[in-house]
Amino acid sequence: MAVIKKKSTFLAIFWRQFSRNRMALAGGMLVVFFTVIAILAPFLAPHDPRTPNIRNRMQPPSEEHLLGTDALGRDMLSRTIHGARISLLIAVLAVALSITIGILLGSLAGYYGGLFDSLLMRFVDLVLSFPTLYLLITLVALVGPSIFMLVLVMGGLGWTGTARIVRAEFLRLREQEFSEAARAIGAGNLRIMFRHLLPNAMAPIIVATTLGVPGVILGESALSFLGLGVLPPEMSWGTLVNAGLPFFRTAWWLPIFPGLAIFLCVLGFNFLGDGLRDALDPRLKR
Amino acid sequence: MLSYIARRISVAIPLLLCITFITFAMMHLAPGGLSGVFVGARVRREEDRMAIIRHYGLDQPFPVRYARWLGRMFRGDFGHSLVYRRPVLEMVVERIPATLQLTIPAMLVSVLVAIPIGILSAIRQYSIADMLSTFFAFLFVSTPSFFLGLVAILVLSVHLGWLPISGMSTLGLQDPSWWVAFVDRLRHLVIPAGIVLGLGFTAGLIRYVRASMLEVIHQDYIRTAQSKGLRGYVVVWKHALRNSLLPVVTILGLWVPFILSGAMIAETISAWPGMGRLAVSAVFARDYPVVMATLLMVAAMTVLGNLLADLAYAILDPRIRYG
Repeated sequence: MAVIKKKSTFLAIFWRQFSRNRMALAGGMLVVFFTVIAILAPFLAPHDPRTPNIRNRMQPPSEEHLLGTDALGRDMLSRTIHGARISLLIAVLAVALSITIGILLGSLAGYYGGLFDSLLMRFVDLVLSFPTLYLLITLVALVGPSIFMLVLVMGGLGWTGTARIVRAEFLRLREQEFSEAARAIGAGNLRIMFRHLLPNAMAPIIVATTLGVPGVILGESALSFLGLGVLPPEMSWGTLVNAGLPFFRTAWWLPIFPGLAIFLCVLGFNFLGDGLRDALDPRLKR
Repeated sequence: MLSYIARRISVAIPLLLCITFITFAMMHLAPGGLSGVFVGARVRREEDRMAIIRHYGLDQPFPVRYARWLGRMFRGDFGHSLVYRRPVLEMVVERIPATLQLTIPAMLVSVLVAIPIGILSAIRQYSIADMLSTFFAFLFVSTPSFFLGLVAILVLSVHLGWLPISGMSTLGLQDPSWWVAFVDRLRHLVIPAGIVLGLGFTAGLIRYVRASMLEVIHQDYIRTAQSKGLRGYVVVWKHALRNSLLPVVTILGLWVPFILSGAMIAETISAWPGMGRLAVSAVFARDYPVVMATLLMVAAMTVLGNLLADLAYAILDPRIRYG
């Protein structure tokens, strides 16, 4: 009977690497925590996040309102919980968009090279010459701030890093023997690209995806902080910070708790992404 | 060397041209862009509308408009602000010193703090100091800069009263000597430059220096130097440092756009009258000529930053002699 050594499977090796990294585990837990909150927001929030209660306005944190109440007496805990939805939704959609564009363009450029490759890379240089926040506020002002447009603009701008990574991977992989073997048995270009090369390029793509989420969360919160992101009555964490700003000298809890939520969520994704990088990328092992 | 510089500059110029094109196209082709703003909803009469369109040349085809605009720009005419009725170039240029006063000290302090910590972290990999510095680097990389600024203002300015809440200088200082004015400016810089901009930047830089140093100290020539019996600090400070700082020079150039983005947040929090705040208020006022000019200016600064980093790299790295 063949003894299958568990440790030899890819997932097992990955898990052994990953679970040894305490920061990565903590990051993973934070990510799961915020994802669950975002999905179950209506069931977890103790109060309705939109119902004003003027008598109860500007209450500091208490047993009834753990994170206090805002200028209209709305429960900040419930608002922060619902804020997770919008912030994470925008982040996930924008990253999905940018990763898709990045994979498509990067693999075409890396596989075919030539004029398309040089044009694309010059275009990436061009996009990267603009400080992101300047470009974002300009575009958002032109198309109007809405959740859909935020996703479109941030996803449409964020693909450059992924494209570069995928291109570099494809440049390396297409010269390797297995891709030559695939070509020898008559596989077409598309098949080689997406069945043979892409799976081998997945590790850096997964890392880029994980690290892309905090980038978008920070970008969205910076835009919302400037008043150009998600607009009330919709609430993202950035919007909540922005709404609390005028009162922050007297009611410090208004901007601080949503800001803390941004911080913890971003920290979680950063820890997770870094741990994934260490566990997935054998070239970084020392 | 000279020909290398010339070649780098000859690459930067078409890039700058493309930047002007993208900026112009964005503003003119986007729905709700320039044409709509110039005409405005209040203009009812058809003749008036046509007159305005003709006056601004909006009836011309797009390439003609772009060429004319580019030509005016080369002569230093960026148009007039729709809100303040002032030449745009003047408005942007007078904001540059404030942004530089914010960003340059922030970068300098970050570099001075991050390089020793990053190196220490790398040569004592997995020590307590390394773990602490990695942990704090992660912490500050993950904190939204406006949040750091808020907490700092709340604690340091509002509650403790140690630092001014906002602005560039204390109002009503009667004829201050240069020393008093200098200290006053430094006190105003602590929160926007040191905390909002500086902490995140330092944290990112520490991680970068550490990675770069780790890469270098595992290379053969370091082992050679050690086996020759050189003392640890000679190896670190003479052999490893120089090579590990090369990529750091490049990254400083590449990070110019991030610093400018960060400065926008810092300027907004601390009411610092720089370009970022000008851009934000122009975006809110739909003052598109000003928005375009700030976009062009920051993009040009980015290209310039990359160019300087490339040149510094060529000067510092004797292995690279571009023919």
